[in-house]
Amino acid sequence: MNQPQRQVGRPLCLPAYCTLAPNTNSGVNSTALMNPTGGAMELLAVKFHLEDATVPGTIVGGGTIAVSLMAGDVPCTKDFVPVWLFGKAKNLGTPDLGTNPTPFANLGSFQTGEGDYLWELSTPFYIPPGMTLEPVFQHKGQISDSIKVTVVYFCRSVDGDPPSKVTFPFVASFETGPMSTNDGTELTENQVFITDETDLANQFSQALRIKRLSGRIAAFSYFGVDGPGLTALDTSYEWIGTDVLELIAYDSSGFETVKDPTKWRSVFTGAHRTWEMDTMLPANAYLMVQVTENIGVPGGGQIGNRVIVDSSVAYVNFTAQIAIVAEREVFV
Amino acid sequence: MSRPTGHPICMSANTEALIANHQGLNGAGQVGQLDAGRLRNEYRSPILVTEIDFTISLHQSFASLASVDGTPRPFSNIGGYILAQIAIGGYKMTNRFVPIWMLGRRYGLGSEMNDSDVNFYRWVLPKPMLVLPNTSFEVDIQVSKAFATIFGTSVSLGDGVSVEFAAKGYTVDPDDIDMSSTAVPYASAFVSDGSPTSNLMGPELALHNPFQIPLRVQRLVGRIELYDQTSFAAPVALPAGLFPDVPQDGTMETEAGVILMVDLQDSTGYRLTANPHPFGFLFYPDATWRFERDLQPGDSYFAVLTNPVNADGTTFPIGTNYRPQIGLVGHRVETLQVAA
Repeated sequence: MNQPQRQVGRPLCLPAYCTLAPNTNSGVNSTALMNPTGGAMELLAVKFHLEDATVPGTIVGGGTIAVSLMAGDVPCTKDFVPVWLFGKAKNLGTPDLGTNPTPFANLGSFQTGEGDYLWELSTPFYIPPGMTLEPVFQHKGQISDSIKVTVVYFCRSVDGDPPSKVTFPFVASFETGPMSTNDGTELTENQVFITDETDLANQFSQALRIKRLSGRIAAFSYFGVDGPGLTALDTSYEWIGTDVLELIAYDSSGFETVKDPTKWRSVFTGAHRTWEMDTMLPANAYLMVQVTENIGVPGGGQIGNRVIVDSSVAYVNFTAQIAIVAEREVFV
Repeated sequence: MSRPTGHPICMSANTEALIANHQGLNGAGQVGQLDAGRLRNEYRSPILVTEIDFTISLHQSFASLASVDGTPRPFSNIGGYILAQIAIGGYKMTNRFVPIWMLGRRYGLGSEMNDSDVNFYRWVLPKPMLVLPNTSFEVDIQVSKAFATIFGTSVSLGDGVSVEFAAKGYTVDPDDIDMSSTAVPYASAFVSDGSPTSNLMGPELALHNPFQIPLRVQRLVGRIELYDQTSFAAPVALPAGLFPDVPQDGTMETEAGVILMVDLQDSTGYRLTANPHPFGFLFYPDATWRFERDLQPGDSYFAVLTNPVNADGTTFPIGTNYRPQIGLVGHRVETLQVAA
């Protein structure tokens, strides 16, 4: 059935803010995220901007803040999802500025830009008049500073009759328990983490169309402390994703999506931290992922495949995060 | 909206057991063969492969690797020295060994070298390639012999380098596709031995269609491998963050990309560049020049590279410190033999 022709109106940029202390949740002023003219709109993209509220300019990774999204009483996320799992990484060079000898390190003034995470929706999401996609944010406590969150909805107003069906986004995620490259004195070695049947699942009674899998590693504490760190990036120790973590994946029908243990960064391509796809996940089906931490030889100066001579990098605590980013069509 | 695909698939294998324990330069020139069993389509249905990802990591933290001046240096971008030879089901996908960074487009320096000793390269195939059940990729990885030639003992690979090859795609219903033929990608590259001090012409067989059928060229790829730049002196300074004595990509970020001129024509006499053109501009910004053109059987592209002299007759002081590389990426359509 053809959708009614609608007039696409003016662009809308709708920001809202909140500041979160570690291990707290907060909503935003949802009125700020509605079409100010009172009409309907289509959501095209969401940008999350994170700033360290305690020490401005400090690098903040997108794994530290998770968000829950609701459209009325319809969930668009499964619980809380780290904000950097929604979209493709755009500029991974930037987060490293000031921390590693990368090119363009002289552009240090750009370093606060690394806290920007953009989610471009595959299909515009129709939001009726007087409603919005309601976010609630969660500080996951991986860093000890408070974080200021800015969320911006990029929309366009629409006129005309509401559509007969709406494409709702849906994102679900899984986070491993804490791991460490510490070689054996504090945390468990060679851990295996497996999603359960509800983590990366289609909780609806209709098929989900998966557009991407995304995978990030939040290195939240360096130098041997298994508590909160100062930053939480997925770029400072890239080799965690190449030399320490491997994964396999299969779905609830038993189909082996990743049949042999594969480096984390080969699955979640280094350039984007995602695996772009376009596949259907049937109603009530799910994806299972097994993540293996290969810590190497305890005390042997080796982490995974890597010989560690520089002891300063032998203490990185981290978690691995995976999400399915999907959508589904709903007749309204 | 387009139709969704079948099941997503990722098949991978790596060289960990094959190129390991490279102390010093022992590994240069060594070939590692990937486990074809892991790269076989063991699914009951055919699959369409859409991209191939390479992940290269040093087994030893760069911080522990010594360099010319004794200061630890990162391997900023080593894709010019790690080569891949790829075939599938007997069909060549590369012209012998091709530097891995010549297969895909550049995604920005940051994306290729985030941790300085981990590099990522992504080859999005010109067209999805049909892989029938029980067909396998055959992949060999080689550390370029040039690594030893160029660096001597001044730069090492530490405790080894591992390369992972990952082919991604999705299953397809045999009833939905033509199983009699498929696009097979092909990549070939010309790598100069060193900086051209006068006109340098790429060999005829480097950017060549070796098949009996047309080769649809999708793009040309250009990179400049920088190395041993200890002779760099003002005013030819490297941008901050680029180091003078390690492998890296200088296609656009250094003067080499501006000064080196490239002139391209094909074997029919058609000039792709009206005049010699700055290398870095031609391949700006992602080391690629996209176009679609059939290269007929036996035809070639010729690249003439020129390092011009200054007005006073001296060569520009980029001296002998870089190796330009030019490659082509395309595909041809091959007939498949479907088992009865």
